[in-house]
Amino acid sequence: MPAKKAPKIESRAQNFARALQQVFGRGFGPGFWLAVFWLLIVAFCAMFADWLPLRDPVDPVIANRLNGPLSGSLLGADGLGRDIFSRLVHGARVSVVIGLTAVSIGMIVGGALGIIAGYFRGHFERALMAVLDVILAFPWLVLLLALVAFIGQSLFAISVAIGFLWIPAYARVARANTLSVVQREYVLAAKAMGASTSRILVREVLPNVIFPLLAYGLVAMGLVIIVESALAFLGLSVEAPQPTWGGMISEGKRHLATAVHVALIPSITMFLTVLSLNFVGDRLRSHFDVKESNL
Amino acid sequence: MTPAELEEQPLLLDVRNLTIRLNSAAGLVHAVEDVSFVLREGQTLGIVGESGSGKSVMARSLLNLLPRRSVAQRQGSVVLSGREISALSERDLQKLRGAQVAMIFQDPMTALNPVLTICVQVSEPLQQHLGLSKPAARQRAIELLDAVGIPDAASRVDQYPHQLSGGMRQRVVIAIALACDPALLIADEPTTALDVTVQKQILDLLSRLQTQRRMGMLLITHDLGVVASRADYIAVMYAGRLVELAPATTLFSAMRHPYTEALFNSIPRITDPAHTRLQAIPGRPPQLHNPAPGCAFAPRCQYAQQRCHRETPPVVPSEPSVSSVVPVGQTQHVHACFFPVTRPITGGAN
Repeated sequence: MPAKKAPKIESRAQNFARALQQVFGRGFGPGFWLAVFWLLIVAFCAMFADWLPLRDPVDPVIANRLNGPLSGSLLGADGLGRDIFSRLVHGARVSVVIGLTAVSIGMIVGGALGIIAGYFRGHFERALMAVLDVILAFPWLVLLLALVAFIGQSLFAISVAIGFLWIPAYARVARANTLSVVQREYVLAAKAMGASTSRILVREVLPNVIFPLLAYGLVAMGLVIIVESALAFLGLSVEAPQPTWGGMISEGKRHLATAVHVALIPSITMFLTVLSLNFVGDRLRSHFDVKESNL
Repeated sequence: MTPAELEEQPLLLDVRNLTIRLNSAAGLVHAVEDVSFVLREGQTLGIVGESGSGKSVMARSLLNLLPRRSVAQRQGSVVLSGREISALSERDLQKLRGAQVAMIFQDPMTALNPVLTICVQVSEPLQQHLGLSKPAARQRAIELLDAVGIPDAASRVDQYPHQLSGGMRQRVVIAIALACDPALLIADEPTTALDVTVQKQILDLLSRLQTQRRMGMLLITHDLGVVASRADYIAVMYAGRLVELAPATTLFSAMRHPYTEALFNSIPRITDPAHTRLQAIPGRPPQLHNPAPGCAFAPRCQYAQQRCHRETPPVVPSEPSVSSVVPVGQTQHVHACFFPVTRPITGGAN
């Protein structure tokens, strides 16, 4: 008997890696990686702000008041003589925490509602969509102000309030994707093989809906950061001593005539962060779309 | 098995007077009208008909798979291994699906979940119905993939559907369907989306596995050629009705219904000289909502007479010697036509 050639056996990890490569294989371009790099910096700052060798972000040094960039400290000082660079790094924490929490709340609650509505249809779907339309039709800033007035100004409360605003958008995205996934034959095939409803929802529908939701999550995070800074600009975000980007812009507007950098630097930081989030989110989303059409 | 042996097998599926009407924007769709047939263990029943003749709706209704809100009316009975399907709870149905009855769908491109590996999808029913542990199910999945002729199954098992070809995917779908050794396999146009060469492989595989496991099989297709050599019985459906049902050999030698004849004549024959016109059936298949009285095929039928447009022909036995009442578990030749074709069929056999 001739020696049988040993079949090439790939490990599960290799296979997964290859599947990933097929999805991400084509280049994203340098812009994408630049955006990712910026986001990593922001995330790093948010995580390790307390341990970085920075000046105290809330310590006013009157002598440094309205100092310009590169005069003693990297980015200068604000109207109270606090170090702007240090405040930026610490402010990233608020933006990142609120961004993550609010988007998670919106994604989990809205996603679950949307999947259930899209799968079961009927009265529940109609009622839910009506309620969501009402929330969407409401001016979001007014609603947000009311919510914040009601549940307070802690980091968590503000995350919940903004997250609540995102439920309708997520529910719609999840519902739309569920409607199209449920039409696919593999859902019927799973049902024909005896899968229960919960199994179909978790094993067949969720894995196919979660990717668009996650990709949308990055774009949503950019918007959440803007919403949070709008609140901070109105003085309704996290309480005063804690630095936030929106708060810094708000404080800087008094010095616009004499010291532009106080408002400009946090604005640019926020602009870059939101741009990066949109950029990365958009690229990922289109990559997942391409993947789906390839199948 | 000889026909006589087949007759003695216990009844697997007994469908009687099944009528299904579906809701649609245009009104009630008479998708399945008064369909009766039986299937015994180890038998293959081929169901042939044009697109939209109610084959798939009928197949799905056997497992109560039609969306509940789209079914307006359901009459008649479906008895599977002695149990009436419509009387079962959803939970009992779930135990039945996959374990006793499995289904293969038309398009292997969409019948597999793109984001789960083959392993996960094949072992799912194993874990659910047979209670296998994850590693045991994985082992069994590899064996199954091997059995359906997937080379190098041990490494293929961790791939995703998009890494497999169409024929491979259909083999995976078959492996999933056979995972729990079902007694009945419903194959809903299993080869329509495949190349002709792959079609033959898949059909041969199905026949082989069916003989090995003594499954009953419902082979749904729009291609008479597909069922000709593989089915023990052939049922021809038109506009939701069963117009002719006969043992495969009898059907081709003595077809009675004009529609069967027209279908048969429309098969291109390799012995025909080049550039022979294909024989098409004139007209279009009827709309199934609010059907007119009379035989649905009458407008396209070359033998139609006045009566065909007024009355719906009942299903009657084709041999005059048998009593005119359709007996329980009928497996003889029946047809639904007032003026059946009796001439011997000309042209080359398939």
